[in-house]
Amino acid sequence: MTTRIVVDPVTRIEGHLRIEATLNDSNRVGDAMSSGTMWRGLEVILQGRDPRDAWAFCERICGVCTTVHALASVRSVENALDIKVPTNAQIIRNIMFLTQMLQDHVVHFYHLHALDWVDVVSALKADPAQTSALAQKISPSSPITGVGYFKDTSATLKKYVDSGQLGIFANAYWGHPAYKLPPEANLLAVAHYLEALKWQKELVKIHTIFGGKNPHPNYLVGGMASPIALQSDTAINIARLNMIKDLITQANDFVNQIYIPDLLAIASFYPEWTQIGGGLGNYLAYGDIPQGGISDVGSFRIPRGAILNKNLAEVLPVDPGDVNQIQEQVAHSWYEYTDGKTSLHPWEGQTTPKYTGPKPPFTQLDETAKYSWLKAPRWKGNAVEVGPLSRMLVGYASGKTEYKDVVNNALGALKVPATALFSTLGRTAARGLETQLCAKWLMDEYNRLIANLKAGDSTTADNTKWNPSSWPSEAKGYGFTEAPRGALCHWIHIKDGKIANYQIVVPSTWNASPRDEKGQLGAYESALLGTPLANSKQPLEILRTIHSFDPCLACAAHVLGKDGRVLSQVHVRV
Amino acid sequence: MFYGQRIHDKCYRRAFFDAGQFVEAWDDDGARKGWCLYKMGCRGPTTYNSCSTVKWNNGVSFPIGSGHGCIGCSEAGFWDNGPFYERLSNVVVPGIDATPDKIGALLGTAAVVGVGAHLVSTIVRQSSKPIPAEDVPTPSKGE
Repeated sequence: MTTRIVVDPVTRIEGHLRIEATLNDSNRVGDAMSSGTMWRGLEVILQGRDPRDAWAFCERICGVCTTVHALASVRSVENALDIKVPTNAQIIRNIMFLTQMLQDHVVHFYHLHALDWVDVVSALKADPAQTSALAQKISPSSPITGVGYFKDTSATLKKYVDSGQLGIFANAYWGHPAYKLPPEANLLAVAHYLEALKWQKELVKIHTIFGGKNPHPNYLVGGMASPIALQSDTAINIARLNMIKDLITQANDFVNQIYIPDLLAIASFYPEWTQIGGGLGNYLAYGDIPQGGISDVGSFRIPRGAILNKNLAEVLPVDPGDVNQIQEQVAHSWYEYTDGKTSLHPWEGQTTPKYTGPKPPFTQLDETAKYSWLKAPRWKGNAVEVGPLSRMLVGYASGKTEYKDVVNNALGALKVPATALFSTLGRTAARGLETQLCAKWLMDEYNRLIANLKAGDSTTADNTKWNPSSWPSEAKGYGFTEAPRGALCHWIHIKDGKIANYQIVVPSTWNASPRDEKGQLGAYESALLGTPLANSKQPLEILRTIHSFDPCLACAAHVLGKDGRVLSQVHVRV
Repeated sequence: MFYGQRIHDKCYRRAFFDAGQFVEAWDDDGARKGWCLYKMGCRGPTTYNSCSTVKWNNGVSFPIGSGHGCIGCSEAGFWDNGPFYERLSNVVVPGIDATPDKIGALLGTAAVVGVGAHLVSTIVRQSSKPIPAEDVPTPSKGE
């Protein structure tokens, strides 16, 4: 007998994602489908607008990985109009990019993903003294390892549970047999869950300083709007720069003393998850953090490239401007293209909805027909995965020393081979290792900014092509970045000073992609195949793999029988 | 209280507006001195919010404080009231024929441009449809 499980919406993510999975007789996932259940439509909203305004619209796609769409958008306009941004602006953007990466990865680990591995209720059984000993063992440099600290955390947690109002911790799969951590490790993780909440709201002040606010800091075509004048009381001055340096120092401490030790400790209890959830084995990264101009791809700290079939011996070149490389297909997506076309490069992209799915409420979707609001992007015809694992693998396979060092250290600490990376746990570990690199680079970029200022350059914006009268009547461009969740690119077509066409291919379009015209599965779908479930009424294992990609969505899981009968329904409030 | 006054009413750059000292281009001398962003499209004069007093992220900054004009994101339909970088004089204001520039030109001084903008936005505020009584929330006890 096959059982079909529906998880809709998936929680502890942002947005609306539906997963349907069919279980085979051995309670493993035999088939899976991923459906985006939300219409975005920003491409339609942007048509006819001033290209210089586009960043403000795009950035508001989401408040979680805020800034990344603004960055991709201003870069697309600058690419189309051949605008070179000043060095300081480039570095400030790098600092904002890295700040986002750190904040987002830490929040994902502790607040969105850790509860797939950490049993909060079990933490109540922990002995504070033993928890303190564990904390000192895994992170001798951590300043928060005292017995009293864990006694306090335990008391806070007990008070919370006794109140009967679990709030964000209500109704998860506590006590599920797939939870393997001892109570002390659970208490440690819960303590750091709370620490991370406090820390992340401080870190984002870097965005506030340069961009005026977080979420949704301000960007500018041609540079950055925040001028630098060290003696000024209103511009980026020495007090502001010192504040940024302090925040970066705290970030490095948090990542190295708390996050990485926790990640390695938790990972060591789940070795079987290095064998589960690998998926496609195809990886793509556009790269970012330029050290020269944005077109100097070789200077990027995060390198660009693609890896196919887990072949780390070859990193293939990627060009978002090559119309033959990236195309979006709609065979299984609720869109239609004109003239019967089924595959289009984003510069020629179309956003015309064509909903053919069942009338809600419905029990299940049909994977042989159209079944998602996401298109299916493909690189040279291949379904690929994007995100921290893809970036770490491209960096590792490119032979970059910093990448090789952090990866080899982690593999050594966990005593697993490099092939362990192709897994759910590999994806989660890669995110942590990338955070470690990003924390270091954040200080490096800060130092670059200071050095450039000391050299006498305080320019932050290039106004030469600010006025639309200086633009050609028609221009095309693309702007890429690496969002925390993976490769992101915006394609723009400017005509007579206005946006004629705008297409956005976001990381989750790649990862949560439906099948394409050849029937190739998307990254989530592929990664779920073969996943064993201990209890089909509590599909914790599905959440582990889906969350390892860091989709940004919230949750009611409906578990359905073969005939669509609801076996159980679980609501998780987040 | 949060939406009771214009950002411009309590903006720390207000004195520069009144004095006719404006940022004319990104990163120019005026920008570095923190002059008024009105000519760069700032929506502070027509946006009812508390950003200029409460500020963001525990009072660290707000858009104007970091050199970019307000885009008026708390105003109804602000997204169609652009482009964001065109100064407010280009906004067609219902109920009045003259733009702030024309009013300014009539009165003949740069500083009075500001008075025009205030006049215009006040008229917009006053002429906007009154909120029906049933939509006004009743304050809870202790407020």
